[in-house]
Amino acid sequence: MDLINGILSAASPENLLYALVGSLVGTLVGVLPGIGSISAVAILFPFTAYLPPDGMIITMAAIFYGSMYGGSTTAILMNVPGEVSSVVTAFDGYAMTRQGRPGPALAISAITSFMAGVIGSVLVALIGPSVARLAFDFGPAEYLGLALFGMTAISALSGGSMVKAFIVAVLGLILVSVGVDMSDVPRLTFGQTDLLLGFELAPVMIGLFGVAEVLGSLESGKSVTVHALGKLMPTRAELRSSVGSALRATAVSFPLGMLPGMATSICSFLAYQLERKVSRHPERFGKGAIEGVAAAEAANNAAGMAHFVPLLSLGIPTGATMALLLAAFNMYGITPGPTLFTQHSSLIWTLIGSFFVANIIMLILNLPLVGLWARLITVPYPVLAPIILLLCAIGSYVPRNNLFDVWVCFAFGVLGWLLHKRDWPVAPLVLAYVLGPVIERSARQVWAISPDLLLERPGFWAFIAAGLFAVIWSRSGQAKRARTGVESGEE
Amino acid sequence: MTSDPALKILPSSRSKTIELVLLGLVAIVVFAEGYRFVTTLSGSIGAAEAGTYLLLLAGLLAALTSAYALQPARRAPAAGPEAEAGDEGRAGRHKPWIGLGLFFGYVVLLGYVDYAIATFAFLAAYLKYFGQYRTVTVLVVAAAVALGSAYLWQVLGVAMPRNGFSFF
Repeated sequence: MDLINGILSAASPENLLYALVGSLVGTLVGVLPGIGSISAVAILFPFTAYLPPDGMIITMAAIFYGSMYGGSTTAILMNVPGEVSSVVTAFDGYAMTRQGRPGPALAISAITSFMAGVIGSVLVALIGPSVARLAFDFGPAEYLGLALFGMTAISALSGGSMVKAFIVAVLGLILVSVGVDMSDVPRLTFGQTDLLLGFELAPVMIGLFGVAEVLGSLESGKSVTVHALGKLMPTRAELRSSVGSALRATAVSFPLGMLPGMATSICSFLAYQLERKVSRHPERFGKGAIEGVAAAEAANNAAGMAHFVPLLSLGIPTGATMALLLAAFNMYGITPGPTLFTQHSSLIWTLIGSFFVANIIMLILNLPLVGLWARLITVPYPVLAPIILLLCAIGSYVPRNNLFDVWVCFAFGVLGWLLHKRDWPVAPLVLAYVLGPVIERSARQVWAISPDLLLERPGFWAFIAAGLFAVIWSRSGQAKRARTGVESGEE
Repeated sequence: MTSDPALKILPSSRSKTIELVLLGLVAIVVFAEGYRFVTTLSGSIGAAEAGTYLLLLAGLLAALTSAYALQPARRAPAAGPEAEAGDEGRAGRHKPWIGLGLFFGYVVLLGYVDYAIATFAFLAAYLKYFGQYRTVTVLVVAAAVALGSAYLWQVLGVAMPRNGFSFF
């Protein structure tokens, strides 16, 4: 009943408009080369601050979907994935484009994204409240454990050097400590009044993702070729086989997507590998198998939806984009967690309802607009890049009307670019930046009650054990790859 | 697009040394701040906890930095497909620095002149350098985007830096 009310509320003219604008803007930004979904959400986040709470959350979620869809479009048409999770889509999507069949690849991408999105929305509606009920018994010890688990998992699973990932996470914890702390003591401000309020989240994110991505693109200097779209719709046989692939990918990716650190890219890669294993013609994968596109896209969307379960039920973001959505909630004094489904029931069901609405909007609008999106890709980067930087500057300025925040954006842009350039992961920094206050607050509460509290709470140790498992699993995976020399990417 | 770490230019030992020095400095600064809290501000409520937290972070950073220092520095591949294809990349290496310089100039300008003027100057410089379009095209596009966006922000109620004289 709550869900139906939520869908009806999301379908109200005002909310429908937010979802429509968010989907369109998100797709537009996601299609443009050099901007992934995280950057899109980060850059556009401050501009949604003028909306009412439900409008802002709906718009943000729609921008997230839209930019994900846009990222897949660039992956299929130009072999330029808008984000890491679209890399797997490019394996077969771009191969289909080279075979002169980008239309069916785009159509299947939209249809399977829609399927996985709708199934994922239903699962969020079913699982979210149950997880929230379980979390009602959580105290500071469990929240400390959960936040440490989230940060450990994302550091362990971010790929590359784990030591580097943990260093970056600690740097994130240090950076978020700047400013007046919870007991009104200014820390790491060095007498600068601008630093008393700390670094605002929006400029930090915009810098780390938006500015850094532009700088990275300037360095790589990629040129792109757009192929003719041709026939759009796939054949009936292709549609049938893609539906099976999409369902399998959704079944695999949704549970995985609920785990912190389990990036959509990992889910889509696992779903792709599974599809290749169950296929009667595994040799077609990587050479234009439409099932590969279906599996990758469905997995992306299912995992993307699954990320909302820990965010809404526990208040724990599983990745950088969810961290931004958490910030959007916090902006209105709403704290995601177990009480969200009871205290802000209307808002949360409207948000879940908007998932359905946005998915339908994406399906209806994007297929006819594919030609337009394809043309947009041809906008020359020298024109696009300064406009992105302009949006980054304004987006940073807007939340507090403070020029200092634009400097923060600039500094974090340089930091993000250098981190990327030197092969340091950025995601652990973002997670630490968002989870840092939770960790410190919970740790200080535990300390104030009694440090022995940790010994009495098995939930805390369960999360710590899960974090250690993520570390060991990641280490063993790295060791195995080093031994066998198996490359995870497709040629 | 590949994510194979072996194909990336990996940090040389000199870069790693710079990284280690910077991380060490951060650890020292955070430790000093935490120590100051614990020793001199212990009278303030919560200061000891705030300081202890910083000491903990500094210790963690120092330990992780030590672990990173013990890892062997990997060298960039001397030759290979990436190195061969890297001529274009090497030529473009200065581009992000110039882009960064222009963005820096834009942020400085925003502190002294009106949004539309700063934006016009930034766009014109950027388009001229990176786009290498004709001067007239650059000026027209820069003016259109600067004035158009200033008008759009005003319509949307988005506050802009206002210095000197304003167009809107």
